[in-house]
Amino acid sequence: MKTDLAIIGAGPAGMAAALAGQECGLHVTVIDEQAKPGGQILRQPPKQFTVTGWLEDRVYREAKTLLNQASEKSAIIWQFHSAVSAIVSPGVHDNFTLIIAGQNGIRELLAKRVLITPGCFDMPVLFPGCNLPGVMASGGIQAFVKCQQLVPGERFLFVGSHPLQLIVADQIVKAGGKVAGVIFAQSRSRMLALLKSPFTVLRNFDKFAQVGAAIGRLYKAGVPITFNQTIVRANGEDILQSATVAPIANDGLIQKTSTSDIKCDRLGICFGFLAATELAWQAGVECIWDAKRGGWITIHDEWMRSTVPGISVAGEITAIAGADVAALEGQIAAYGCASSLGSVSLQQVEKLSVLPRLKVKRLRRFARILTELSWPGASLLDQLESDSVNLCKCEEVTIGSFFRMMQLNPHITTANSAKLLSRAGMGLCQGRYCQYSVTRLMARQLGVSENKIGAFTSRFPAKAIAIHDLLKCE
Amino acid sequence: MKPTYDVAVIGGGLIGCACAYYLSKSGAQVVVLERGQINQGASGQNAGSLHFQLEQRLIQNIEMDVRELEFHVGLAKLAITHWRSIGAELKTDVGLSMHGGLMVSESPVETELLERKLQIERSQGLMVEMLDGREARKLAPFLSDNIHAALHCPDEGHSNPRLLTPAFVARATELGVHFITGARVSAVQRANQQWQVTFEADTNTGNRKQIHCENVLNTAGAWAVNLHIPLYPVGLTMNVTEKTAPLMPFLIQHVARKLSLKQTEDGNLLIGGGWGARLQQRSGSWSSNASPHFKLESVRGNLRAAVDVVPAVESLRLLRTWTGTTAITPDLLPVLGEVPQAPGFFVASGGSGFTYGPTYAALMTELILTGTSSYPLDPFSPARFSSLNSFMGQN
Amino acid sequence: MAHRITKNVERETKLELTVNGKPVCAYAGESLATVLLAEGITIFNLTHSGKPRGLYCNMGTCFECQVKVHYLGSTQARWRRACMQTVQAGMQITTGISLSNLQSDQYED
Repeated sequence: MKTDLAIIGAGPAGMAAALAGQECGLHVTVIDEQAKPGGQILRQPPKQFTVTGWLEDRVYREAKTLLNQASEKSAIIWQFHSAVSAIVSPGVHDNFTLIIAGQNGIRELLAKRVLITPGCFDMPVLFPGCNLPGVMASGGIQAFVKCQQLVPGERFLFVGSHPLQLIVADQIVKAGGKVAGVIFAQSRSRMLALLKSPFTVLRNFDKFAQVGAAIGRLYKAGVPITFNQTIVRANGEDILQSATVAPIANDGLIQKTSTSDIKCDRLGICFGFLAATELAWQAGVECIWDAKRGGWITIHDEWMRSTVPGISVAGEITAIAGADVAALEGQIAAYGCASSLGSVSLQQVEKLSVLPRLKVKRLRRFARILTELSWPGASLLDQLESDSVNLCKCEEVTIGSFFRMMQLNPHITTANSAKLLSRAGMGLCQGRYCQYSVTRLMARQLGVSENKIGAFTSRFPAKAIAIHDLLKCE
Repeated sequence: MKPTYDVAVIGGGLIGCACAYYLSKSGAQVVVLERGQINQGASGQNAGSLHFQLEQRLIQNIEMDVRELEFHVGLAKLAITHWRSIGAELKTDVGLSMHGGLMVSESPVETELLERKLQIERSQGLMVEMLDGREARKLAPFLSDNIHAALHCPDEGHSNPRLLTPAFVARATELGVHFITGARVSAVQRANQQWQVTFEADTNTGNRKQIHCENVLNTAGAWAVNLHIPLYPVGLTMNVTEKTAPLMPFLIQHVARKLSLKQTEDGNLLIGGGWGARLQQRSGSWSSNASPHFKLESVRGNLRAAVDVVPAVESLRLLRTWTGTTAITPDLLPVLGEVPQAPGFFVASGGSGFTYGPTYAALMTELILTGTSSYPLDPFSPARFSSLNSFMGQN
Repeated sequence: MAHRITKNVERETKLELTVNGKPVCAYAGESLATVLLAEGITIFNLTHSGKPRGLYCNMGTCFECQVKVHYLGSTQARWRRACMQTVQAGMQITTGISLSNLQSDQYED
């Protein structure tokens, strides 16, 4: 199979890129591991469900319009239930080869241009008990409500530093679930700092309105929203039974002597998001470290072209900024690809990109403030660490054993060589859930920048494949 | 000026670090210069097999006379003894397992190859035993019904490439060896009866440093420079599955197909055997910094061979395919010894560097310190490429 | 315990499968994760060292929610991410077992 533009990810960035690319006359193929387009923001219910009034909040309106437009375009080729395992750069041919794992084996797709828009995932935070069954990513809880129409537990507690947890808590309450509380690490005044600029509020009115309404409904439902507090431990023998929380003093120190236990069977973690850069790394795209905006994020030029000729990037992997920015970046990236392939002139796409670029600039300003305020802070993350906690949950490498490895091997100064010696990052999630902590920890211990520590080498397959499937061709 | 070091070792891979250890154990002052990180090249990337039977590539792909094959078997016996003592020597766990290995055949024709091999190995006193298919499956029930015969060598096994070199480094450091990482050697010159090695201490600042030494040992593998030794980089592919319960205690090889298969102490299955990978090109020449591009055909071919021999492999997930670069010579033999035109300049590179690395290092140490080794390394001497040096002009 | 949202939601066909040998009803389009949580199951598997693990990300990245799945008509079971796998009639799902467990169990066709 061949295509002009292969788009990896059917979220806002991917959908917008597909529409823009297709309008510019490109043959466009979108590949996604999920069953339907929409990405995480619009995780759609299965086709066998009929849901009335699905995601009616104004904040989803633009993304839903995009979803409808993209879904109706018959010229776009969609490949769902499909995971891109590798992007092989051109050898003798001019095309990239995408190796795709489908439901019935492997297939290849040749593409002149590749756009990587894999989005992000909830940032894992290490604290005692964080691997207990019942502890979940807040985004994961939300996806159950949006897509599967399930309230995935009985009594929820949300802890973190990102305002998204208010939205998720509200959605749970609306769907008939119990919420024991929403706990923010920051002070109330820090969160209110977002409201300081009237322009910011006006320009992002929908978002503020959504959060405001959520807070109102949570208040009405008697859900306590607290500030200057943090999770310190998840408790339970085999399954989560309660969470221990503690206040944070003005100097940022956790008051571990005045803790309290809150009963819950689900603990939603909401400290922000990490960019899913593994495919970009694998393709040789250069990334830089930004602790607050997604960990490792990709570098790009004004057309969203990465450092690898022929590969573009858009959306959260260029720095966490939400669905609106992602869609605009996807659009610009597609214009860039179209003009480089000669299907439209540069002047034409320059003209088409004026407004999207302006909007991106404006929205990015807001996103930057939001990520800045939502960032839990290095000090909090450091204080939550404990020697017995798994740094790498898959290989069960504890923070303590990782530190011992570093002490015994002073020559180890990169994440990659640390992985070889400690096994952190060698398990089934392929380092997605420990990379951020490994990089941060090593940089701190060695007193160097995270960019010096580097990332784990990302390899084929991006996600593990059954050998049985790998030997089959679709 | 008196040289600072007896030996400057270029390259922080297995052979370099093991040499540094053995040399300093014998009282020598040693420095190791590594341009990247310790153990980041082929030494840390190979599959960690300890294969003592004559390899598939030696018996199949090259015309070699019996005496040469016998020489290899002799070396294998030496390496077996060496590995048996390595844990005690290094005082640390290097994931060593020597529970035996099976080289399998799938047809009568292939079994004939095994038999020819068996005779040479037996004549030199290597412990090997021929099993027919039924006997092989009795010993190793995980083998496929297609296995026609197998040659069993009870000494074979594997060790952990991630741990072995760091263990040598730890012991060598205790003995006072200096390891300098991020040191790119830019010149090696002979002056005043000693060697002067120039290196960039930090590639970003171009900070240059020089050391003086009696001898230089270049172990830089695919990255060996400065002399006209025909070492060519080759990209290789390795596959690792998810962890699973203990399935196979043996190293499995194939007499006619490229396959090495074993389970590590962590439970992962490592599948390799010499399948190719595409070296990355940077401005017209191959790039030794970038890991080679993987080839889907190689991964598939390798896994197909593994599933044909051990059907249970099929139900596991492939976790990672990684590629590494190794160095080979035109005759596929390693290069070990002193360069005739450059007294005091030694090379050690190429050819089954993991299984034989520690043994090569011990023999090279004897050669550097005494001028001779207890097992002759002549067939591997760089002297065999002397004609090339005179042809291309001495560097 | 988790519960299915019924207000404003219509689900079509019911399917039958088994979870740890017990017959269970599910709706077409549901993920295994949904079915298991609705059944009150929180421990999805055990790590290689025997520690219990459950669903975390619900988007296919963390690999915490793996369960053993045997498909109708197959002779072998496979590890699958419960959040990414849609239910099929006749599936046999096993939870709470060690990830070290190789598919040694034989199933009748």
